[in-house]
Amino acid sequence: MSGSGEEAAGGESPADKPHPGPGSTAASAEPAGTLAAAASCRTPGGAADAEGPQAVSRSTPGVAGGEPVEPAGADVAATDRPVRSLSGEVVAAANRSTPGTRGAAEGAITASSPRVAVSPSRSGAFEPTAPLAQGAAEEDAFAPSSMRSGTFDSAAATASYPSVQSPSRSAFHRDLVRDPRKRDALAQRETLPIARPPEPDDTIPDRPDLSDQTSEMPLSALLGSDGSTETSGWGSLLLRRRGSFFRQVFFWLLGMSLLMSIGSGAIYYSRQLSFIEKDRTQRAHLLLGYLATQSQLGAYAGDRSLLSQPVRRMADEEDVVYVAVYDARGRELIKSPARSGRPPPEPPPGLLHTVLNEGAHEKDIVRDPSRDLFEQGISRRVWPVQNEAFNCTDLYAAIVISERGAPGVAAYVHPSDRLIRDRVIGVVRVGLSTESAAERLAEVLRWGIGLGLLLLAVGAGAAYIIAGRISVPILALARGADEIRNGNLYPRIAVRRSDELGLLAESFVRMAERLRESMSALSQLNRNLESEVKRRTRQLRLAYAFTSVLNSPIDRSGDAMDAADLTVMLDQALAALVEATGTQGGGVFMTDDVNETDLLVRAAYGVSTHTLGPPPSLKDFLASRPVAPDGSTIPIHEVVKVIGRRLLVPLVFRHQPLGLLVLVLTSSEAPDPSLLDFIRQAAAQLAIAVSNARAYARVGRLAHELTQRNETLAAQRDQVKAQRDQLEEQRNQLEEQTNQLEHQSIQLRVQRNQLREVNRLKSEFLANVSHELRTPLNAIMGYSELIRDGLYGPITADAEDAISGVLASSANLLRLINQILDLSRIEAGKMDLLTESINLHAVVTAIIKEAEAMGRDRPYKVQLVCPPELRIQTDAAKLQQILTNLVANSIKFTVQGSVVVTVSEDAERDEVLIAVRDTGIGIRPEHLEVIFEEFRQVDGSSTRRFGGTGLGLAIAKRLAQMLEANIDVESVFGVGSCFTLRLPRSPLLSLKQRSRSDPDSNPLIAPPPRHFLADQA
Amino acid sequence: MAIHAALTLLAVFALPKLMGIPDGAPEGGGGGNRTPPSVVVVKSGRVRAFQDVADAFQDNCRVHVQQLYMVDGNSPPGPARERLQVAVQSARVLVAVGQPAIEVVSGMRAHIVYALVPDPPTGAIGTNSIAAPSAVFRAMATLQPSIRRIGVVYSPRAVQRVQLARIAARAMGIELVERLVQSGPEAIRAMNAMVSGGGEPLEGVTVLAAALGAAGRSGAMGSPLAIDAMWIGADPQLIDSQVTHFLMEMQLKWKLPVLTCTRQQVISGALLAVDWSPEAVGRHLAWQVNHLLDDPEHLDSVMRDHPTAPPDIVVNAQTARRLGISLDQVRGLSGWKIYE
Repeated sequence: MSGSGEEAAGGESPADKPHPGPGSTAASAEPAGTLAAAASCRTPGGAADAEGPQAVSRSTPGVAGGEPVEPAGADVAATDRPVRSLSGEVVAAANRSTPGTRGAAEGAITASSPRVAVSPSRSGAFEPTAPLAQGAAEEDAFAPSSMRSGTFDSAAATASYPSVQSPSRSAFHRDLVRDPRKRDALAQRETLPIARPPEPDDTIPDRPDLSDQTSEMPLSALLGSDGSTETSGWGSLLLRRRGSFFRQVFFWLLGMSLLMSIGSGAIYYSRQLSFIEKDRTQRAHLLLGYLATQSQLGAYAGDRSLLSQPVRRMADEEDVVYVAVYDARGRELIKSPARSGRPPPEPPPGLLHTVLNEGAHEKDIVRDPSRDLFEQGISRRVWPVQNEAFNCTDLYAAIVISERGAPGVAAYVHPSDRLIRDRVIGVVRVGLSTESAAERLAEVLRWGIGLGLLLLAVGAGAAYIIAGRISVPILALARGADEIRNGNLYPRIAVRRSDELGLLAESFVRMAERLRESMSALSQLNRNLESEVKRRTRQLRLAYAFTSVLNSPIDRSGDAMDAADLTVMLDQALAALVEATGTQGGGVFMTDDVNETDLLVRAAYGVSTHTLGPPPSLKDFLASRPVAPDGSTIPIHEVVKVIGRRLLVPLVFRHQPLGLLVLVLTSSEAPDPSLLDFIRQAAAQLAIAVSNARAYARVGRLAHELTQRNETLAAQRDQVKAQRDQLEEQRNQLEEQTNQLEHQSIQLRVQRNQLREVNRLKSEFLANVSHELRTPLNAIMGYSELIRDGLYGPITADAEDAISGVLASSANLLRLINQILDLSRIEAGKMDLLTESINLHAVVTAIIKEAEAMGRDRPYKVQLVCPPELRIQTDAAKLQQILTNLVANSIKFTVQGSVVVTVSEDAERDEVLIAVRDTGIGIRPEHLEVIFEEFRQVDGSSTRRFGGTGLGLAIAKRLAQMLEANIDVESVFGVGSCFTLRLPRSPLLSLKQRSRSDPDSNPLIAPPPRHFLADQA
Repeated sequence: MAIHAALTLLAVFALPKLMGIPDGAPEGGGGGNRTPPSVVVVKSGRVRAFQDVADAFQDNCRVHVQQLYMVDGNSPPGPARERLQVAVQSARVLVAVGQPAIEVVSGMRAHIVYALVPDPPTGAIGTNSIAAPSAVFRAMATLQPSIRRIGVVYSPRAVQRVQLARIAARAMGIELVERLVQSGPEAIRAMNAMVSGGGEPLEGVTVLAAALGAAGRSGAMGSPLAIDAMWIGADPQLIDSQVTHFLMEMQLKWKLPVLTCTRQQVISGALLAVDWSPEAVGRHLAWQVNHLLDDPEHLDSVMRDHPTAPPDIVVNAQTARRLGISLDQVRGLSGWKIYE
């Protein structure tokens, strides 16, 4: 017995209890299943019941999972019981609405089972009220009552519904009743509270038409004609709530009406009071302003005759009790008696002075803009004093005039001139009666009260009407909602109005319709879902077994897979696949590694290879792919071919065909599409497994190769490591040597600096010493010449010779000193160059003539070979000094023979060559390298023989370097020498470049000299 | 005296501020020129007539003129008297336009020339716009030849002028009905008593004559009038706004022509006045000042206090119509100006 059936049986009624015996008594023990089964007969699946048990099983696949259904006693179908669905909702018994139930009622069920008449209880559940054995006639008679109760009676509905009767349906129901599991399943699916829509014939004649009497009908008529029955249950509750709701709405509206009445009266009174006050204020300002204007001249002049007329006019006003005017000092000018004849009271003490003092403030002045010339006004401020004795308000205001200028100016004031000074010239006083205001106030009060009462009465009537119009349709809606709550999805909501409530009622009805549709669709969906779930579950189970087989080789992690393993895996997978698909057997054709187009049998299960047939050509198989309806070619992995009983599916992995799966069907019928899908998916997985297996095999081979390579690499790594250690050691040695070299470099740099300093000191010393020597030497030579010339008296020949010797020695010494000075200047960088354009022929000729005097005592000849007009750009003095030295040396060392000076041009190098060739003693080859050093001569004998200081060639060499020139020497000992001076034609540019690029190439040599351009032309 | 003192203090303390002069630098009439002005015009308040006189004077004066004005009202404390001294100390001539101005500048070290001052200091030179009473009476007689009695209310400061008027009126056969009063309120009471024909005499008002039925008209209260017209001079002690107000009301209420001394009062509603225009006054004033600047030792020729040209006779046409006086005989005549 299902849980729902037990819950339904647990009701309060004795009829809800299960009957102890079989047959008709057992029927009441299984109400839920019976009702569910009966209800299912109205479902679309019911039409398929006529096809037999198998068809029934297909149409209700969710019932007991397709298991056989046991027949049960047909008497059970006769039970009228309210049941509860799994969700706890009370479901009306509807078994009699089904054909099976009807058949039972007509057959043995009716005869054997007691009939239980039910009526709706207050809670909405049906309770047994009479024996069921009274028959169908009593059921029909009961139907109107249940309809009026707001719940749908399926029995009444069944009576008017044509039903489908078939023997197979009755048998099915018997089977259904016998099988408790099937009944439970049906109960779970069929306990949705779907009721039958009422037909027009179901309308109860004595039922009042709610739509026509929604607002006017009495409450008892609204709840149904059978007031005694209805008021005992839902009707009484509805009546009470209806009355409560009606009273609430009515009294709420009445209260609001009362508040609105009171508020309106209060507002009306307040507004009228404000109007009266404002009117009085305006009236007071008007009266006071008029009186002040009219009394202005009188008050200014203190002339009563000017005041009498305006005061009399003012006193004639109905609401004016008395009038008075005071001057600027507060003295009374004129006063009218009160209407009663009594004199007006005196002003309160100090009030007049207050008015006079405070009445002329600019902001309080009220001026008449239309009056340009004589602007005047009164103070905007009014001082009211209540006078109870005269029933009036005593009003005081200041009379303000606007003066136009000082004395002597007024006569010249033009109307457009504005010279205004406000001044208070008096006070006006008006007793304004309050009687008229009091009368108006009383009248306003009376009107206010009357208006409030009228509004209250109207509001009460409107509240009564509105409460009725609101509560009646709302209660009808509440009743309809309660019907829906009780499971009746065909509620009767008799609200036919075009306003929001009518719209709400329509929405209720539409909601119920939508709910019915939803429930029906939900039931169908539930059934389809269960069937689909079972089918998918089975497929998943088989697919899991197949997948487990495919995954088994992969689980053997760590071992390389070989061909045998692949075959075993294919056999196992093929077996699982054959079992899952229910085919006779199958095989797997795969390509070999050599020829990828030819297929070979790799596995077979259930059938022999002969049954599998010859392996087709993979290329032909793929070439003959079918074409999709849209014209496109079907992808390879979706191609499935059925050839006879053979089902051929390609094994494709990443668009690469690996083989072919062949399954042998048990019959020649076309396979189910779902089976084809499954086989297609299995083939895809099998292809993946095959690809993985092959990949495993390749990985194993690669791992082996990798291990070997790793060993080789390890050996190479050791060798490299040893070499790296050696290199490291060598690098350390090199770093040590580099450090030593750097240390030596630093020492050398220090020494170089020291040498520079020493050299500089030497040059400085030489310059100083030479200077100090030359100065007295000049004096010696000068005096010696004077003595020789006889300026100090006649001298002897010896003395003359001695003096000549002194002069010669002094000249030598002076030359030596000059040379030392030149050398020191050169080394100190103080030798300047003066570049000019010179005629080389003239220069060389002068040098030769000067040098010829040196060897007049010897037989030699000096020759000059030089172009007549050869001009170069150089320092003439330095060049002359160089050539003089060279020529003088040649002459000095040439005892006999000739000295030839040749001047030529080297156009290619843009140089001038000056060669001094002699036939002197020559120079040994080993001495050629030292002849340009300072104080060096070839040997001491030559010095003693030919004289000289050993500085001439050194100085010439230095000077030549300054001029960008070079001196080459060629000599043959005993034959002669040739000194060649290579002089650039314009050394200035090259000198500059040298000075920029290598200013300190040789620290022992002074920086390049400064140049002066004497002749740029 | 109190008013005089108040105006003096007002001018001293508030004058530079009210004149719009920055502190320490007087406003130059010729623009941003820092040259001290030779003539400073001090005007009494923002009155159009005074401004017209000052403008005409400035246009015809041959030296630099600076205009200052006083306001007639309560003013906040301003700079000290020294500020005013700074503004006028360099001026050779001070021109005071209006009675308050002449009372403020009197005593300052400069030549003082007045304009539109009804009660000028004795011996001062200047120009007024008020014509002789005889001209007024003659003009009125032209308009209404039947006029015989003219009422006049005056203060002690105008006794001399009334004497001249009495002589002139007598020469024309007109009788002056005179009231000597001390203030504006008394003047109102006196005039009210005149026109009310025997009303209750008030204290301080002396009724000199009460000729009954002279004009043959009846007032609003049924009492016969004693006069044919009311003449009010430029009496600074009497004429104020309320007196002018009363005159205009009286003129319309009692149909009594009012003869005044300035055209501004005619514009305000009075029937007739004989005076010189402000432009003529300004030009004559400029002529006087120019002469004063040229030859300050000989001022005899500039002592005349009105322009040489004849004055204008100004008539309010609207008032004349209300009074039933026809202006046809004077339209187009030289010197007559009809204010419509």
